Amino acid sequence: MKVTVDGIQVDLPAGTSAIDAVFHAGRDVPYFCAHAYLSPVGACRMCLVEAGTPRKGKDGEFELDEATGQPRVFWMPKPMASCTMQATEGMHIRTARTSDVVAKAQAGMMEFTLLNHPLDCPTCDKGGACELQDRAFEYGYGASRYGFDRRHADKHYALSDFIILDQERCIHCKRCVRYFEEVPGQEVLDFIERGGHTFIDTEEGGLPVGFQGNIADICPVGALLDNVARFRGRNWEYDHTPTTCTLCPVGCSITVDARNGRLERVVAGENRDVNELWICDAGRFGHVFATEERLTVPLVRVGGELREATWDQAVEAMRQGFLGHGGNVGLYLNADSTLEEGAALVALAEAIGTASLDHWPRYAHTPMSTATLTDVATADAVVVLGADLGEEAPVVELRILEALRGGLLPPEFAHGTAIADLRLTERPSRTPEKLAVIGRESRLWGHAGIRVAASGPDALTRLARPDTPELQAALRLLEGAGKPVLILGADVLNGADAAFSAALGSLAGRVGAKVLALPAGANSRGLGGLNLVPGAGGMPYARLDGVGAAFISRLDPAAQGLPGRARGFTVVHDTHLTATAGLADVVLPAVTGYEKRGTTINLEGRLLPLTQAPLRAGEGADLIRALAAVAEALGIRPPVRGLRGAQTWLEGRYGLRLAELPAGGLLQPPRPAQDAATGTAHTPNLWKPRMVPHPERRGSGVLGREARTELWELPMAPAPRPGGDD
Amino acid sequence: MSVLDIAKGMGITLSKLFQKPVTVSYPEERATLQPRFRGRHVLTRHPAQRPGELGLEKCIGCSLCAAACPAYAIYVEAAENDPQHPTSPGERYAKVYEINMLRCIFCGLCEEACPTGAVVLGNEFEMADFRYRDLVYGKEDMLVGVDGSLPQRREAARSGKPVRVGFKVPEGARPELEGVEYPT
Repeated sequence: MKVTVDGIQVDLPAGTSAIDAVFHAGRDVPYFCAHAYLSPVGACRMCLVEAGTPRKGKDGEFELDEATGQPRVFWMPKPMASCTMQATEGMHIRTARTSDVVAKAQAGMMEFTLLNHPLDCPTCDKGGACELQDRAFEYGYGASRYGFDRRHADKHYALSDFIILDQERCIHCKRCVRYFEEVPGQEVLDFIERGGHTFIDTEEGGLPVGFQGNIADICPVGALLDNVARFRGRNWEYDHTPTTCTLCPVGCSITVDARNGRLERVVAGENRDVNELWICDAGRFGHVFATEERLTVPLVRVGGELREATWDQAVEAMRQGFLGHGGNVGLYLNADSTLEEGAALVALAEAIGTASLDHWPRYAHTPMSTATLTDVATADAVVVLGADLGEEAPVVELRILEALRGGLLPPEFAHGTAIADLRLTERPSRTPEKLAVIGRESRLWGHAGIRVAASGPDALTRLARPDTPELQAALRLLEGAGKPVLILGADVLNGADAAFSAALGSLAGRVGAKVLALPAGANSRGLGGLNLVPGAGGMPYARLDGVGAAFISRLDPAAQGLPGRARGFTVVHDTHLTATAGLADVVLPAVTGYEKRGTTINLEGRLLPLTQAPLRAGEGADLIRALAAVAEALGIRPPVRGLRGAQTWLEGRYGLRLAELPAGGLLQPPRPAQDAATGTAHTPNLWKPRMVPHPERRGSGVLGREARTELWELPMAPAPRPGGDD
Repeated sequence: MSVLDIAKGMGITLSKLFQKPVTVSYPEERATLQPRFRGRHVLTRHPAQRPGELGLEKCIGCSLCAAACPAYAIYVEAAENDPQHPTSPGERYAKVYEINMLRCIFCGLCEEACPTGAVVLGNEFEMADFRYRDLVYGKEDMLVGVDGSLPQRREAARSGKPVRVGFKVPEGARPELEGVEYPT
């Protein structure tokens, strides 16, 4: 299909919207309501273009211009909204760059849009990153001809604890309404009243927790704002770090906005294969732990209490403590650690000769996953077995709902994801009959056509040999589908073993289903692939009191009701003074997942890069450097001393090339993980205790004037000298 | 060189002895400044709602001064106003407003960038001090009504005498410096 934009001819697939044709041709059109992952509605009327098409005569051929012999273009009488107009064969489009009519129409629309906009950009958190601001500058008149009073409405309307609505700033683009209806499938927000009195509100009193934060990202103006980051900084002051979220195994792309060494805001990044453009509320708002009550210096137990110390003193204390334990040292790390950190730990364990190494959370046995998130989104039947996706991997829930909506993956153009995908419709019809949920009640139940209450790993055997009509229906759904996906969660995986895997394999093979076993931790799949599990005679994490000395990185067994200390000597490496750290002999400061460089493997086996955000971490060190200190204390040469060394180690042993990963990640073939008993069950929990934001606890971190004027007298002049300083 | 030349030169010296000196014996005598002289910043306030009260601060903590500053001397941290006891009109006020006077080049771009006319360059220039951190001025040092610079107030606190600034502005402070009075 050939389309001409401002005289530039582009070749496009049929069904492309005119706005995508314009952007694909490298031209620009302002828009507010169109959004790459939402249905085009043409609410804002900013994307006006002049459009004309050739007309076919009675003979079925294009009517030709007699002068030129080319098809004659019949221009539409008025400018058209390009986001809802489909480009057709031979269409001609003129943007504001070549058409004065379009330029005038767009400037006029901008004047209408700004009619009731308060223009309080200096106080608005969106200022500097505001689509309305930019577009008004580029396409507006620069002044308004309307002198009357603007609309006044509530400027501080808290839709929920996390989202603040400024009704004056809203330009009625309807993105948030469409987002809730189309993406998480929740009909909560809507327009109320009409015309200039229109405002956005919810009848329910609050927004549903889960994915509400995304509306702050997609709002083109400063009407819906992140309350956790409210007034924390202006957009140009933040240090933006694109990285990967390590709170759950999905591995969403995020941008970490830090200011002055404090993490102030997390916004979603785009990764078409993983999270599209959506992240969960825990990933967006649960970042406060990274800046609050951080452990910044090592602590050493002296005379029964932990005292601040230097790293040298901590290494000396560890050297004393490890004496006499020989190889009876256990090494334990959190499953959200990077592959490089896992490699450093495995290499050190091999150098010591200990079999007690473990990551947590994990399952004793993990079946092989073959499905990707794109497979989930395009599946024609999804069966969820024993998973509470809201706690385990929230974004998988959105991809399942995408499958129920038809599984349309947005097309890609020269400008990236399609801005207006005309196949998406407002208030989409869903097909709940394509989803079966077997397990405990969860948020996904409301969307499922088949719901079966079940618990424990025998849910799979019950599905394979159904004993109730619902289970029979679920099995029929799998059997009748062309590309079914089976999603397994913690409830079934906690008791899984090799027999379970065999049963799963035979069921999946029989119905032709792909399997997605949700890993327990953010990087459990990667660390399991490194065989970071207890070897023969080694102690798992739940039995760490069985080893003589233990090194525990960013885990809190004492708070879980597990033994928090090794038999003899315990070193804890953590970002906060946890219950386990309070029991330890030496506490080393760690860094959070936002401050690491490295690589993680998400639930579908995709290598995703982590980048370091500039946060104030004091003397905190990542696990690789902390393990080097442990090796020094043990009197051995650390086998892996830095990130590069760990990547070389991984390349040598597993052939993983991690140094230059593409931004969207790299899919890895599944690698079987070794089985090892855990000794305890994993309970998925997305919101960890320190993640809940407390607005009153968010101090500035800047030294108050009181602290500075305490030293009103100069230290160099202890006694006042008469006659001043001269 | 002749004796005559020496006598000529001495004659000029002698004649200047009876003229009014052009120098000002600062700091005993006040230096004369023009109103547009760019010195230490003043954070101005709106007029008071009721007599005897302090007016609301004009600064809304928007950080545009910090964005405009070519020397990166300004640091602003905003916070939300308590609706019952607001610090400034609107939702937002500057909780921390600091200018590093060692970095500042007194160019006045912050004043130009300010959307509310809150930060205005005053005429004070006597800020010499000993420690780096004493030259980072906070809101307490710059809000209108604060007399003199930090070392002058320290000296006044030590001696028990009021702050004495070493300059005068015969034409009075600029109108932008709302509420500021300088010796004339």
